[in-house]
Amino acid sequence: MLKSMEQGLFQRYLSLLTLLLFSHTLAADPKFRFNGFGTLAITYEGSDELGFSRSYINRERNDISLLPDSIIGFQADWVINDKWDVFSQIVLEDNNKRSLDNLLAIGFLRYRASRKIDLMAGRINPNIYLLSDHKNVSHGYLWARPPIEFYAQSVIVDSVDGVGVNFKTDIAGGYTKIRSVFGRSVTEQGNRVQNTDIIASDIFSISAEWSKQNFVLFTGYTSAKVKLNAGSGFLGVANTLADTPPAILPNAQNLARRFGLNNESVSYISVGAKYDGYPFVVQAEFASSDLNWLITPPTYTGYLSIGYKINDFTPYILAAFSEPKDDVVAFNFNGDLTEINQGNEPDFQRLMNMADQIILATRIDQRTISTGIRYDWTSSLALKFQYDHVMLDSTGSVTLFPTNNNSNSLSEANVNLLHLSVNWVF
Amino acid sequence: MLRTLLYKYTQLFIVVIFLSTSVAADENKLVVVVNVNSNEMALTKKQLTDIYMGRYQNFPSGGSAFPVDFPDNSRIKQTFYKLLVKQTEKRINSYWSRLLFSGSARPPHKAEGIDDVVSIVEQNEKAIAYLPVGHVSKKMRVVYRFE
Repeated sequence: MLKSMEQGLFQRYLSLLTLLLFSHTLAADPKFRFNGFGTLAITYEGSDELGFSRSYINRERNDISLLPDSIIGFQADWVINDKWDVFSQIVLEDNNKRSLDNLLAIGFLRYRASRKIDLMAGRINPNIYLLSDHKNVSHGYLWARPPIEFYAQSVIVDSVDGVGVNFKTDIAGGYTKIRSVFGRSVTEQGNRVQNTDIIASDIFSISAEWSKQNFVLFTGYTSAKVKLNAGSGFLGVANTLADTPPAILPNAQNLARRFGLNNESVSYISVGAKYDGYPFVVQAEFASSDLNWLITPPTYTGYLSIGYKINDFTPYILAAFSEPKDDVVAFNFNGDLTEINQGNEPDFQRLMNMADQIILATRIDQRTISTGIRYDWTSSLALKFQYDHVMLDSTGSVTLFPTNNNSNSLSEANVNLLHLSVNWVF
Repeated sequence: MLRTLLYKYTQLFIVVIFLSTSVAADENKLVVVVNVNSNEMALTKKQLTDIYMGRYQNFPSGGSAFPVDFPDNSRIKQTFYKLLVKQTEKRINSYWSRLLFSGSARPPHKAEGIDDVVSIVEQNEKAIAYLPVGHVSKKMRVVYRFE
């Protein structure tokens, strides 16, 4: 087991090394460009019971750690001719599940059909929110990380294997870019949710961005069919629920279906706006997600950020929220267990606890107030400091998660985070 | 007599200084140039912004564009982006972080210096660059002048 893990790591780094050497050789060719970005961050999470992660593909860490917010990426762009180019990007972060497939964030072949139309095939970011297509590149925005309430769940449709089209035009004196993507994606969550992978198919996404001078307006819509490729523990819970007599849990059949072992429809709709002038930089987004699925229940999310530029310093404040549309479904079952075969009660109670844990692992019901400062040291290097005050409801959080595996519920809590980082591009 | 001569030479000196300063100022004015064989005759400020901010990779006529930048921290580059979009070089780099790393567009080719810029524009029919007007050669065509 350990040997195969080591072999996997060795192969991964060998591939990276090969890519870097290959890139270095080609760097002299003006048709080939190799670039990278990175964030080296120290994050402090001030709760003994909870661990922090940026999204549910990342591991939760507590106390002081270099891992939650640190990230590094490399990319290569090869222009074959005026019409064709190949773009690829790999991202190394603290993933729950480490695999070569997880490393490749973007990789597509592009055909520039005309001045206004690009066609793409491969792994594409559908850009469902304002920052979706560069949320790993901290140098490209003001904060320590994109607002977690807003961006943590959208990871399901961040890297879509399929086809896409960009259409660019001028509307009302502003530059307008419309992107549409169709395809499928697999999100590997690792141990975070009982070794489940989320498979999204029939993904259809369309977004429009209009910019003029200092203003940007954005709107996006994404729909997909999602299902879980579940581990045995998860399957056990779902199957037990499906087999549970209505006398014990009246809603059991319906709840079993909502675990998402079959295709469920999901949709996201969002609007956003940004003003980046002098001295103010203001950005806000609001989104609504809809799906009949316990794992990522329908939610309203949004944030507002205001920054004030003072030469190379930009202090800012940020407020974000995530509010589930439905009441929480929990299996804190205290009913009559006489219908269950004698001796099976502990197993049943354990499964109900596991069901709770699965639901709480991905649910977000929290608000965060943040304040921080960005300092642009050079044109390619920025320093950031951010303080977050996270207010958790008892019904769940995707970004703050019990570190004790036996714990299956959150209690209301206020958690403080501190972040100090160096962010660069090259 | 001596006083009159001194007065005249002082006036002459002032005129020469004024003229040379204004000529130097004119020569430092930035213009945007393409290769003389390019199909582009003139660009508007918006069309220029579209190309240098990565919105379009082609000229309005449809031909592929190869925008050229001066090296980082160059005064000419800083002046150009102030005139074009009223942004500092640091803000421009932050803006490009998004386009570059989302795969949307490539930033302009970074030349090694003014001689390199001149050489690229003279040799590459797709090239577009900004230059102090004093460096414009017969192998180039001015497509935009900053006021």
